[in-house]
Parts: sequence; C-alpha cells; structure tokens
Amino acid sequence: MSDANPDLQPILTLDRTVHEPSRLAILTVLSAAEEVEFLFLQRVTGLSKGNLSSHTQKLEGAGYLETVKAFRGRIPVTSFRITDDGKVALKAYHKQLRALLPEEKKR
Amino acid sequence: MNAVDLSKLEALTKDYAAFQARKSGLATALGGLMALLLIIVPIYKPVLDFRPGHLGWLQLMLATPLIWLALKGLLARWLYRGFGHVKCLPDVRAERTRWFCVFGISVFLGGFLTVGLVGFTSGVLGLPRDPAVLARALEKYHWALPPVWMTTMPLLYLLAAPWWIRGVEEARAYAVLVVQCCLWVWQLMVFAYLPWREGPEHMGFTGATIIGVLVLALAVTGWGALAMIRGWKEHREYLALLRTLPPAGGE
Repeated sequence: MSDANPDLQPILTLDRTVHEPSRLAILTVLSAAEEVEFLFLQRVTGLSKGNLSSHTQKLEGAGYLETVKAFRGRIPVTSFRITDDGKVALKAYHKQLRALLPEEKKR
Repeated sequence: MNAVDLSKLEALTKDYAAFQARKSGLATALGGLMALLLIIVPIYKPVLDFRPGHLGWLQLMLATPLIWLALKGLLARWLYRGFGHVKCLPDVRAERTRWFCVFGISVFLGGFLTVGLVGFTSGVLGLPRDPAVLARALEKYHWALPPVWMTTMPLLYLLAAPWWIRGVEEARAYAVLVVQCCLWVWQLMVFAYLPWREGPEHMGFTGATIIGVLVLALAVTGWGALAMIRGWKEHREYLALLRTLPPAGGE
C-alpha cells in the first residue's frame, strides 16, 4: 500500500471486516439490541442462511460478535451479540467514513 | 446499503425489540376489553346475587387478572415473535418506570390485604357466642363462605406482578383489573361475615356507595375504551413494521 496516493490513505485504512455491506448491516442490527436471534437477523438483512452464517463467522473471527447457542424446548436457537470490540470498530468506522465525506454531505 | 438504510435498520430492530420488552399491542386492548367485561357481566349475570350456585361467576371474575396475564404471554409469543427473539438494550428509565408501577400495585395490594385481615379478624370476633345460633347460621350461610383459594387472590395478584408486568401499559391494565377484582373480594368478605350479625337483608347500598360505584364504572369504561384503541394502534404499528422488512432470503 506504500505506493498508493496519500489522499486515498484514509479510505484504504477503513476496516474491511466492517466495510463489507452485509457485515455492516449485521453489526448495525446487533448494535441496536442486546441479543438478536438468527431468524430476525436473516429476515432483516435479507441474506440467505449460508451467506449470513459465513458473514457472522467472519465477524466472530474478528472478535466483533459472539454467538449464543441455546435451546427453546428441543429446538436449537442461535443468537448473536455484538462485543465491545465490535462496538468500537463500528463507531470508528462511522467516524472514519464521516471524516471522508465532503463538508456539504455531512449531516 | 446507504446511511439512510442503516438508520432504518437500526430503528426497525429497536422497534421490534421494544415489542418484546415493553410494548404489548393487542394485550392492552384485551385488558381494556376484560375491564369492560368486569363491569358489564355483573349486570347480566348474578355475580353479586349471593345464592348457592352463583359463586362460579365470581370465582371466574376474580381470576380475570391472572387469565389476562396468561393470555398476554400467549399473545406476545404468537404475534410479536414471528421473526425470532430480539433482546432489547437495557433502558434504565423504562426499567425504573416499570418498577415504580409494580411498586404502586404492590403497595395497593399490601394495603388491601392488611385492611382485609383487620376486617376478617373483626368479623370472626363478632361471631355469635351461642353455639346453637352459630350452628344455625353456619347451616344457613355455609355456601356464602368464600373458598380459601378465593381469599388468597390478592396475594396471587401481588406475587404475579413483578414477574409478568413488562411496561407501563401493562401495569395500567393489570392495576385496573386488580382493583376491580379486589372490590369483588371486598364485597365477598363483607357478605360472608355480615350474616352472622344482621343477615343479608340488611346489606344495603347507601347513596354515596352508588355514586362511588358509578364513578368507578365510568372511569373503567373510559379507560377500557381508550386501552382498546391504544392497543389496536400499537398492533397496527407492529404490522407496519413487519411490512418494512425485506423479503426473506433463500437457503
């Protein structure tokens, strides 16, 4: 990245784990609640089960979310929680992105 | 996924979680309807006509707050968890308000139980001393003695409150139902212990009692109607929220 235009440096330093639209949506949903069930996350993001699983695994790998496995009766239920690191990463991402916007586009 | 979409997504999650934490939707409407029924049923059914065989209605009515709690739980499970469970972020203000409501209901019920206990004691102490008179009175009015479980209703209402009341709307509905039922319990106690001294024919209503009952009936009717409207509006708000969800993704 050393050859990159210095003006582009802030964009290139964006956290790519968060920057991916589906993962950004997942983290946004998780930041609005304490714990979210897989079913709701799937419905609200419009992702397929496979896609959602893959993205949540990546986020879990980065330490941004934790998976909570439980049983409702005999049915296994998977839920997710955003971690403190996840909250910090999401906040930092918003801040970085806002800083990149031209003044007139900031709200 | 632009900024507007993200804020919408956040708001949608918060709203959906609120239905599982505080908002009760149709349960509030049901509470209003049940409060109205507690006013209307005695007009058409012999709830206060204390005769053998008529206590069933009273027993059913006294169970109303607990029936509402059970139905409320079922409604929440059937209607407001269609897309899974979402635990709301802790809200200190809402939680404080909830405990304030629960505390209010508990204080009322505690006061009621104390007054009931004092009344019960004085009633028992006023029993006829002559065993023959007592035996005759018991034979005549044995059916009017409240079943033991009925006298424990206020205690059951009290115990159920902290576990089952989630928000202000629910606390209001529960408080109205409980107060109505406590009035029935009170009537029952008065009737059960009055015959030992004077007989049911002496149990009359004064003008002040009638006005009090009318004011209470009007207040409950007004609240019941408002609760039904509010509950229905909240339910429609939930349906609108569901419509904003994107179509389900595939496997």
